[in-house]
Amino acid sequence: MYQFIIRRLLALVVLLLVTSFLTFGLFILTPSNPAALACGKGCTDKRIEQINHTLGLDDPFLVQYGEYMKGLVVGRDFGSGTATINCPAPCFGRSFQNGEFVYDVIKRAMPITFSIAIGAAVLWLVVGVTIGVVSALYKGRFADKTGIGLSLIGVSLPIPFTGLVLIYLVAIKYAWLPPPDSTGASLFKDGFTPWWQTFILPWIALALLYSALYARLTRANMIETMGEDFIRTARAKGLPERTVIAKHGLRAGLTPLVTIFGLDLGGLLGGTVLTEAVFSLQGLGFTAVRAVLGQDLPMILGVTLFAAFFIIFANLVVDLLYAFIDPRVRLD
Amino acid sequence: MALTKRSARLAAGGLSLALTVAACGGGGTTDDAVDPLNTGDTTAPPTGGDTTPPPPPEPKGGTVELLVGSEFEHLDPQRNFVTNSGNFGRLIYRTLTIYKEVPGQPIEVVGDLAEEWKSNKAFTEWTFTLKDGLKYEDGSDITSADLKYGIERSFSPDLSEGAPYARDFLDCPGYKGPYVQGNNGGKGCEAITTPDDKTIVFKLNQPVSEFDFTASLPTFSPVPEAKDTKTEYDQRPFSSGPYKIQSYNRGQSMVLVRNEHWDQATDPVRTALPDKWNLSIGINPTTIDQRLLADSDPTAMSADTAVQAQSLGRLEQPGIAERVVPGTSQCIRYLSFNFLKPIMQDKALRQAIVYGVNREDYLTARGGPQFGDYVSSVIPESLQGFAPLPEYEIPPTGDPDKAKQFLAQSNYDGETLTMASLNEGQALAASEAMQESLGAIGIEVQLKQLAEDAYYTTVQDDKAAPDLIPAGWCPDWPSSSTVIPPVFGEDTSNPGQASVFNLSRYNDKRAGPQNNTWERMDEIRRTIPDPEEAGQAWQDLNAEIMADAPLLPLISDKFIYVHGSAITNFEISSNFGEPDLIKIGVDPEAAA
Repeated sequence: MYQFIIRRLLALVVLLLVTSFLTFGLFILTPSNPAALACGKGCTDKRIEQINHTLGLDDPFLVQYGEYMKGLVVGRDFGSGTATINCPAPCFGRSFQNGEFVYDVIKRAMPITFSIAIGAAVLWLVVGVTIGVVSALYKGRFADKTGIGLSLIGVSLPIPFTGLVLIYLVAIKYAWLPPPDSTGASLFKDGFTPWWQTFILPWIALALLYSALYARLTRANMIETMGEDFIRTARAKGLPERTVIAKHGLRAGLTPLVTIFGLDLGGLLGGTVLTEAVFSLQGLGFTAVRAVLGQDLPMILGVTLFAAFFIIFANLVVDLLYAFIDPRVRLD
Repeated sequence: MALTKRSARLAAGGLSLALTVAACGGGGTTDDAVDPLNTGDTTAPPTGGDTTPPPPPEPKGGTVELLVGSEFEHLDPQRNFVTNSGNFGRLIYRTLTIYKEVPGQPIEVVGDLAEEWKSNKAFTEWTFTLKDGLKYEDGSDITSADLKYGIERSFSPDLSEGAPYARDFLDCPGYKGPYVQGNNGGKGCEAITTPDDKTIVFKLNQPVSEFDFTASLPTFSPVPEAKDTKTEYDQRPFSSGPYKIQSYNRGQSMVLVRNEHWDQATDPVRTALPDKWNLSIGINPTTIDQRLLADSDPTAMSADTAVQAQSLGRLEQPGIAERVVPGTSQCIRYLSFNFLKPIMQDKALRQAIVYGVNREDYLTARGGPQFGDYVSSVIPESLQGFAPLPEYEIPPTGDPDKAKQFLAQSNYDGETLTMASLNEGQALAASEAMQESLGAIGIEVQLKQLAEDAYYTTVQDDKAAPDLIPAGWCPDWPSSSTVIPPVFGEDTSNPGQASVFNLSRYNDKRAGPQNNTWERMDEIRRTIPDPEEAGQAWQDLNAEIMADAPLLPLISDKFIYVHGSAITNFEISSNFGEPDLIKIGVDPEAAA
């Protein structure tokens, strides 16, 4: 087991290195001119040259990449003379757009994306699995049709639509909740109430989307599992129906759910772009879009590396969970 | 300049052209303008503009909820060169001079930190005297040394994003800012001297008759050396204005509270009515629309986000209509004809294009009549001396018959003309509209699509620039001297060649024989002291140049704002093209 984990962690590091190299390479090789964007109107060639130099873009590709990697490990100094400022390790560079340390921006953005992703995930798991179980148990009957029908409607509603409607109705027209922005977004700094008030609408919007998938998956697995012999055995043993369903039925059907969940959550942690844009929440996704539009290489790299890390890490956790759920699985 | 989708950048790039001999400019009166003893030093009498502060309109108090669409890139005044930060920045810092905008009147330069100022006859030495009672947020005095230090910061390559004017005009070549070890032996930029705490003298490397306008830029804002956190100054600038930052979560929120040491009596333009400003940053423009239209919070408003196109239909509704405020910026969009291309040197062809472009389709592509007014001149309406040009007052759909007549007279023989265009969005749709209307009268046009970051470098490149170039210009400051010379004038470092912003390459010697319009531009600066007269002279010169059809004026940008019902004194600053934040107030009764 531990060998497995160590190997996977090493693979994680290698993958991150490859990702960083590719991202860097793609950026440098595609025709782009971040200095021109940073320069704005009234740009002269001399100023572009100066900006290119400040941003380090006039160095050869490998030098730039090397500097970046070095910064990750031991930190980096920016600026000159008495304005020199040290970016401590891990240093993800400085934003081309406003000079902030990328790591600071990501540290600010991460809790927001986490709050969105994890809250939504819990919600859609609970809702989706419940609907799925109920639909499976009452297969073919009203509860089944309604449950699946509702979740299908949910999956057809795109976030820009649901989000804006929710914001309008809940936060503006009836003002049940304050309007969406990032002011209440930190659980620890702002308190529990502002926090859930900020995120409840994005959670609902996302959960509407994802529940359908989980409902159907759970339903299909449950139906299959509940038809197995060992369920009949459990019932014959006289176990209460609840235990039969939960402990024996559901657990057996969990494996595919865990896989999908891991991938979905990992992906969301990397940046719930649409949701963040619609709800004016400056998480990783929002930051990523802004970085791309501004050709902000250090920020793009930073966000990509973090997103890649979460996805890979989520996959690792999923694999570990398999072994935990299903004793037949051996990690090797 | 490319008016980008996000914040329209503060007008930039209008370097004052080198003048041979000084002219009387500025706002002084004419009688005692010349020093009879010819001691050579001071000419125009001390000017300070109208520094009497207006009585602050009631009511005072309340909190404004400011909804900000795009994050402030830089709040550091020496790095601040973008419209939204420039407008907002005036709440937390003061500059040597500032614009006074009264609706219906041309914009005036008045003293902000400066009590009065004067310059020598040659306009190469300017002396400003600071007012009394100027204090920072901690009660300490604002001194000329702080101003010198602040301006010096703009020379540092670490803080290079700000306006370039201090670097360009001040005569301290090779100075690289105060962060270089020793700061030039403690002397800093030697072109700035501070004989005492209240006086600051600038030595310029070229005559700049409107240096008092230049001194209104954020670069000319004081920063005490002890408070300089250098590249971190963005996080928490030290306030010299009516408000100070209580908290700032970058990209998320900010709270401004009063700077109790700011004295209204010293400030000619800011009313500082609200007690507090609550900023929510990074709000989705659609959400801003929804919130403001619904008036869910009567104390809410936005400065950088105008009403979105999709909400325009709701603006007539009762409850909303009273809170709608349209405004124009001083930005004009036009279609330049590139004289370096032999085919564009054919005047009849240019005139055919002038009458052939369907400006209505162009405006529709840009969002419709709410987003622009047709113009006949590159000089914006709010500037001194503006007058429409009769021969460019063409029906919005163009005049196809006249266009075809001119086309017949020209040497056009079916060639395909190239037109630059951004590669996406409204700008592309707008270029396509122009292309189509020209096709309809028989002129073949092909679009050369360019990415945003490559647009200006391409159209400014003599080899790459196409025949037709859509462009836009916002004056650097409210004077035609920052419109006509950049758009039609000479490149001072390459005499005989057009300024890099003169996309038509009008009067460029490589495009043909030169006329004397460039000399006439110099002459206006040199010989006409009075702003009104100068405005008229620029207008006359403009009319002459435009008779040659170097470009087709298209529209001036327009936009519409909605604000909460408790917001008072909501006026659009034509200088910033945004609601003027320094005038805003809150009505406490409506806010309740």
